[in-house]
Amino acid sequence: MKLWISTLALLASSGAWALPGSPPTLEALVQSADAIVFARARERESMWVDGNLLTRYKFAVEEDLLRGTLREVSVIVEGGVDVNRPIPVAVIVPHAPLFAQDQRVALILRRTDFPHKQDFVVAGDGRGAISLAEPAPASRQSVAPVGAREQVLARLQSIVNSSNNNSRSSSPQGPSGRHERSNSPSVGGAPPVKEAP
Amino acid sequence: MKTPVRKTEGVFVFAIAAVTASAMLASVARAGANLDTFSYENVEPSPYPGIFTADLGNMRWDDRCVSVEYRLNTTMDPIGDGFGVPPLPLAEVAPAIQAAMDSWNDIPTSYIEMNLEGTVNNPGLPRYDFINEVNFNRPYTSYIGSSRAITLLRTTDLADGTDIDRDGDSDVSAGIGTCQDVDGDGDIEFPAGVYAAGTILDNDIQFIIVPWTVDEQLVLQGVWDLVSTAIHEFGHGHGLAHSAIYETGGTDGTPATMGYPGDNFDQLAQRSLHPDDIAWSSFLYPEGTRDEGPGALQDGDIAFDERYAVVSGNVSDEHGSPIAGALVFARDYSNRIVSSAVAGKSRLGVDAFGGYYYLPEEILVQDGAYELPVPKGIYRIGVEPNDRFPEATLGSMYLGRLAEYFGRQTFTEEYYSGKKESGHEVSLGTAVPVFAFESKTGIDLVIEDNVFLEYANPLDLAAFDFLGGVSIGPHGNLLAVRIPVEQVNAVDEGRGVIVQGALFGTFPWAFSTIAEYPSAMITTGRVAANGIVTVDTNHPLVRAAPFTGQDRDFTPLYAGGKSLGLGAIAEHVLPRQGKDFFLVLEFSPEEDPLFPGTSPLGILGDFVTEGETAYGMAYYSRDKGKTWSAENPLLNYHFGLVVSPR
Repeated sequence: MKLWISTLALLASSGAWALPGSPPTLEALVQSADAIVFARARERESMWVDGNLLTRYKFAVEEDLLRGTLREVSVIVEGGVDVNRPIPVAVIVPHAPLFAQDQRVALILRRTDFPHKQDFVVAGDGRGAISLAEPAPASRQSVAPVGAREQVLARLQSIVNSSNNNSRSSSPQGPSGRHERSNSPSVGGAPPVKEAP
Repeated sequence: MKTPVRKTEGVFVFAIAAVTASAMLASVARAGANLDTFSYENVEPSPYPGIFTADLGNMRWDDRCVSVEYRLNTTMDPIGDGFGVPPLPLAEVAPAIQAAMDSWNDIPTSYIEMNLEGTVNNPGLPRYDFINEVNFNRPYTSYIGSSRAITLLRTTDLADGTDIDRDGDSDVSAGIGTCQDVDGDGDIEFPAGVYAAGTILDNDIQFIIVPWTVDEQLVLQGVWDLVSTAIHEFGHGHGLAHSAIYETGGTDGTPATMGYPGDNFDQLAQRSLHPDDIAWSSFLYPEGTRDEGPGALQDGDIAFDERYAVVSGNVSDEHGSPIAGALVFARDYSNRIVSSAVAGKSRLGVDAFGGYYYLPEEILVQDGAYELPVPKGIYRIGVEPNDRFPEATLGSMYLGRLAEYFGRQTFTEEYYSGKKESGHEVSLGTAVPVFAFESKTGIDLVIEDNVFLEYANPLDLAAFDFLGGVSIGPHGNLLAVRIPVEQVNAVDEGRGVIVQGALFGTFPWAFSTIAEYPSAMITTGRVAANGIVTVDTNHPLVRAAPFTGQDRDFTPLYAGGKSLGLGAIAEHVLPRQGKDFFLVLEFSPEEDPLFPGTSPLGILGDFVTEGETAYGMAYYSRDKGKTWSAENPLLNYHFGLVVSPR
């Protein structure tokens, strides 16, 4: 029963909005966040807790936008893959965020006490995980002072907008990039992940 | 209770998987609207040490487990409480859940069968326990319902007596031919035998703790509808991904039931299955394709082949490179979208420990093939980017996430045009009808090599947070975005340009609301040195009236046969006259609170303060186009011109 309550608490802590079922806005997620970081997925560990498979991802923090102090965060996600059972299985939760090895993301996080006090969950289920282009433009690294949520929101909106467009638009000064095919992951606005570890 | 996954064991298991996979049954790779899964099927080495590639699995129930037996959790009775909504007793919940299952069961061309067969007393969350549970204990999250499935990682021979979930009880019996609770202990046993990667072993449907109702009047007041939500989740429960169809099209705003869930204004409409939902359930579980078992024809069934055809082909760029992840769709004679599919087959980078990797598409992408099940008839076949607008399949499929990573979902929506299909078509809106009275192959789509000259209001996403401000302003007025002609001509690379059309980002707040504008046009205009703006709305170059916007997506205004002429105007006329292109959208004179803005689509740019106009490119008229101002009406917009080198 204790684990069950803890699991409920874990899941509950991913919420960040007032109305039942309403999709949270980016602003609502930012305002309620316990941490907002730019980070890269480094390690992954899946574990069974009371019949449910959870996966803990460890991220190396490139930038802590709220406090400037975090160097690593561990994030708990529902579902995962267990290759160690006699019959290996995947647990698929369609709405849960997934992170590829070395994927670079912006994470809007809420604290959870479970399984450990140091763990986070992604706010708004998958909505609080935003793929980042790679490498990070140097000019964007120092735009917002640490802790200013309005400016953090503006940075994240800019990232969301640019990832929505992929190569549709190349510059705020004016349009626009050719819809060229990308021959490698770093071309054509391809999102997030390094070619290989 | 907590059991970490040990990596050392993983290496061993993975090695077995790599060896045995090639000898096992090859699963049929099928993209489209079928949920895909992580798998270790057909594992091969990649150029990167420690990383392999593997097929994606196709999530579905094995025929031996159809009918699928679910049990209703009884620990919360009544369900829901609060916000003044009457709690719903389980006595009313059970028939609502069965009705949701019956929506799928009653499809005559699909042999999926799901039934509520009993109850379970589990005070916690559903477990991996071979009990398919319907549970109302899930705490608040942003999703009001969810479907969790446990699937096989690779094709597996389940032997008699195997304890799959390691609870001390056998989950496999050689003495049965169908899934059933053969030992009477409450969980399901599988018949011994071989099962494909992606086979569902256990599926739990979870609803969060909020007020629920089955009463139509309360649904219309915004209370969450248990019936339509359950239909959606049981769609996932038998392997369906999110549909890209947010509206049927024409004058029909009905979204697919498997459309991405977003609001509660459309719930009653989503109680009825959309043709796309029916087509995909039938394609995954096609009636009349088996000699025995659930796929064999029985009373009331109709053979899939009797009612449906399958249109197939490839999506590629002009060089023949496959575009995995593109969305293909079919429109009927009345402009209704009846079916959609995700094109292409991609593998996934995997390691021995259950980790996955995005590798270059040259390594992962197998093809750009698609299969589109359609009721027999005549269709226009189109393709659009799988770019989160509408949100579509990206979040629910590995293939969608891979497509996003490959970064090629940036092309312009267009139609199959037969022999004229190429990467530099003059007229994107021209469609050659496909007579799909039997399965049709070779309907190959080539995406365009063009440029999107776009401008948008950077307040875009922020405006989502104060819809009242957005909904007040624009009724009956005109919004114009200027596209400088020198930017158009800069595309030509010395060859001249084709102006293929314009794209308008359009967005009604409710799925079922049709975003109909009185008109949209491509025209010309001038910004004088003194700042006075003139836009020629009386002599548009291209005009559509009315202009029916798509739901949360770009809506094309194709230039059609005028494309080459517009290119000549850009090259020879407008520079001499000092004019530019203007894209103009006219707003309805009627205020509609469910239709507040034009675009959910943002642009790359920095945050600007309220009241600024984006880059000085947008103009607004309150007097039918006589005068224009550069004020910002707090209106979302994202317009652009589509230009191709000649």
